[in-house]
Amino acid sequence: MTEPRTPVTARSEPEAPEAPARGNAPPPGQRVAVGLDAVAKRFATQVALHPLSLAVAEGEFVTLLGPSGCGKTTLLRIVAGLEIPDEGTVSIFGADVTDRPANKRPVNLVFQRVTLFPHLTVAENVGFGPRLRRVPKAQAAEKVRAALELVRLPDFGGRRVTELSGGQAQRVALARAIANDPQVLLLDEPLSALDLEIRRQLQAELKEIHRRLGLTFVYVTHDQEEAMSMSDRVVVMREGRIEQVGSPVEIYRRPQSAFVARFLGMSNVVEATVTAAAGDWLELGGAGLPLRAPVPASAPAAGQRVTVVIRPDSFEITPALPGQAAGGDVAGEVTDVRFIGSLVHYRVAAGSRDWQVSARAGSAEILPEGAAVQLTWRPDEVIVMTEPGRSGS
Amino acid sequence: MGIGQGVLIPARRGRLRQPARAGRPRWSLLLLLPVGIALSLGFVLPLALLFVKSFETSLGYGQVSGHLTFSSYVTAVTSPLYRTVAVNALEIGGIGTVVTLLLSYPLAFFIRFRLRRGQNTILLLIMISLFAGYIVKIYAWTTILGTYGVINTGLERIGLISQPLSVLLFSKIAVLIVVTYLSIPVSVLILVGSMQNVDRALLENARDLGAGGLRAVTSVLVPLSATGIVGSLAYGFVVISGDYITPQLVGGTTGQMIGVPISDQFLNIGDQPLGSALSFLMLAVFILVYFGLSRLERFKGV
Amino acid sequence: MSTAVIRLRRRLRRRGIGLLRVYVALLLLFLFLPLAVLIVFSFSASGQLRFPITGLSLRWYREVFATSAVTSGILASLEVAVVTGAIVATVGTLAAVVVQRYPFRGSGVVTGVILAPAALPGLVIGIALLNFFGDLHLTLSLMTVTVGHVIYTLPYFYLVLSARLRRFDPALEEAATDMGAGPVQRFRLVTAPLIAPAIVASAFVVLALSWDEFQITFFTIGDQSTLPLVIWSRARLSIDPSVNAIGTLMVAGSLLVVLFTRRFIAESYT
Repeated sequence: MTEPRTPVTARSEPEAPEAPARGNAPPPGQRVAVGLDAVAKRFATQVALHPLSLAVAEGEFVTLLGPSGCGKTTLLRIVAGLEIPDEGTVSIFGADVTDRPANKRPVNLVFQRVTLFPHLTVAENVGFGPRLRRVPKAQAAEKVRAALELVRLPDFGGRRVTELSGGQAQRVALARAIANDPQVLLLDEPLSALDLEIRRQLQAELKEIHRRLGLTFVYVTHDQEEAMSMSDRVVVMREGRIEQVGSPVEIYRRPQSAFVARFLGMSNVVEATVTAAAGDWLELGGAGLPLRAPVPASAPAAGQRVTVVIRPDSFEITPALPGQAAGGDVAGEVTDVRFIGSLVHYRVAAGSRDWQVSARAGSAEILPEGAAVQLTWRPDEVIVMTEPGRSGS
Repeated sequence: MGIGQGVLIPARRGRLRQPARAGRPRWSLLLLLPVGIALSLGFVLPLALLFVKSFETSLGYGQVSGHLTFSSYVTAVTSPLYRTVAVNALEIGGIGTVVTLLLSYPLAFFIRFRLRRGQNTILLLIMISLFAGYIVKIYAWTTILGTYGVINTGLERIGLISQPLSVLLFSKIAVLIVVTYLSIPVSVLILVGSMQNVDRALLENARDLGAGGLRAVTSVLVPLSATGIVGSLAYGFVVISGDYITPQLVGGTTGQMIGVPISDQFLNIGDQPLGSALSFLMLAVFILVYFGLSRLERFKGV
Repeated sequence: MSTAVIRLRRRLRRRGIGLLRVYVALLLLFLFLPLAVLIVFSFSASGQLRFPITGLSLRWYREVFATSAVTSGILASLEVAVVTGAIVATVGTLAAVVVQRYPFRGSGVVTGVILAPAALPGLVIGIALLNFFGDLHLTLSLMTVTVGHVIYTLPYFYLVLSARLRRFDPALEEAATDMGAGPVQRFRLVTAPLIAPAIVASAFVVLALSWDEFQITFFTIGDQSTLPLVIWSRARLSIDPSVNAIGTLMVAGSLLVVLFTRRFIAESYT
């Protein structure tokens, strides 16, 4: 199906409260694989999705990330055609598919649960799509073979579905979706039911398959590590709205709301007041530590209440040497230590509160509970958000 | 690729569509038509006609006049003839279903919680015993309970008795034994079914907390399998008290139940309004029993 | 627990047997005792039902198969069972599928009405039908028997099938749709193959129940008797040892059906 290129125009619209999050479109010049325009969905008792818009570029790996109930799966199913939106339109490569039933859309979905047909063999499952489209046998067989090879199960064609392990089953499900030659591949938390090791393995394989096929992937997960490690862009969702869209690096370094920060694992989210605003920097008080931070786009004035986020990995922690008072460092005491293997998570009491500090374990000595330490950090890594818990980009 | 640059797609706002369909095509209800017709013609209508029949005046030999009256019901309730057999039916029905439950419960427990691989085999065996033939089984019991039957000869041989026990066959006890025997398979199946959803871990948990084996079962399993228990009691009571064949084959004079005169009216004597009245009175009792048992279930759930 | 029981338990425990196991064994023995007696007596050479049996013989079986009444009884039972099975399977599947898939506000009531016949003793259903056919001036025949069997077995078919349908994962159909299957294709390639074994298994329950049915058949039977009724008439008239043979055949038949169901239907996905 060749679609005409859809020009992506930049136009700022004065939006009232339901403004879709910025950054939800790919750079101009790229074809839009999936276009969602003011899509909203209500279920009997609640709103699943407030009107939102999103554009996924051709070949992108986009992940919808958020806690359960945030609407990410509903959104994915709307793209798949298994749910019909109450408002808005869905387009695939420029063609409006909003009214098209799921079986007529050029997309395929890999479900969270195993949905392989138990009465068919692996090969018959993978060849199901081609069979429906009456693809000639030889061609279909070739597609099946290629797909199975892609998921690294080349000899599994004759196996019964009931004999597969969880990881193998999801691979076959992936092969089945791919063998159908979709224009967009949708994946609904396909790995969440698997063991950690298999999950890691499949994450890597998925990324590899994405690279090889150049296919547009839309992925859904609640695991922020998974999202960050695989995606080109991450769409953070919450309660039916898009909170923030951006690349993993961007989202991690510049979260735009307390929610996003916390969801990504940054646990140092504190309230503070601007004590002075001078040029490019803010002075902040009431946070328990003397803080300076770069002025965010929303440019708060002195006296304003703001939310401050410092990532645990922004801190540097060193044992306090007696008698030494290093300028700019803050003294503290370790109150909790958690050794995770490659990282150590400390809880440090400094200033008037506790701070989460993470450090690479390496071969350095791990500081024990009760140790006196010094914390230092780079002021330009301090993130400031104004009410209501949002910062400008 | 794809670092957002604050670019928006022009929004085509507010195109409200009709709310998504519930997903149920209109014609689906039509598929219920066959079962509706079958049940109306084969069940609802005949029962309704029977009910009407109970108010007719009997002319004997299956004939009725068009005159409607309560007289059949009055006869049914007041006549001492029917009282004895009705009481028998309630008695044997009540005792029978309770005994069936008590006998079946441990077996059901064993099948559900103590067997790993043997479950299907045993259930199979029970099914075989179930489907071996209602009339065949009653007949087999006449052989066992008879004067020269297995029990009597066996006991004589051992020396426990010198004369064959005549009370075994053609008595209330005989009916009780046979009907209990007939209901056990179904009762076991019902109970096992209701235990399927009870997690083994719950019982283990109870024992861990200090409840001895039997206590764990009674305090945990019984409330959770209440549906099955009530189902077994209800089913047993209805089937046993409505049985009109067993009393005729093994009941003798003392073991007759209400089903016998009812069937008699329709097959031989011909006072059909009376037979219908007796049936509906019986059904009324069943409804009371169901009601009572469902109350029991709610109580057990506490 | 009383001391006697405790002592008994201990003695059994020493031999590695649980009290429960003993009970179960005894109960199973009890369940199969009459059938065992039946089988044993069917091979008894003498015509008397005395215990113990004196000699072995196949004479009762020979007699059974020579009697046309018995063979026609078998055929009649088969005919009724098969027709009942076909009707119930069709009607019942439609009902169960609709209620399962497309629940609507009245579906509880519908289920209640479908299951209602199981709450009544066969006696009442039997006389209601007899009365009904009488009012319609219909001659009693195997057809009237079949009507009774359909009403009787429908609730059980519905129950068993519904229970199995509940285990059917709707996501499988969504996956088929996602793959591009239209409604008809989806039904043909995914839904039907997956629920077919459940339907067949439930239908076998109907066959078994119909084959065995007596209490309703008693009222709706015409000239042709089904096998249970043949047994009845023989048992009534006199002490007829050939009944043991017929009974044994029925047990054998039941065994075959159950085994067959197990072997060919056990592997199902619902």
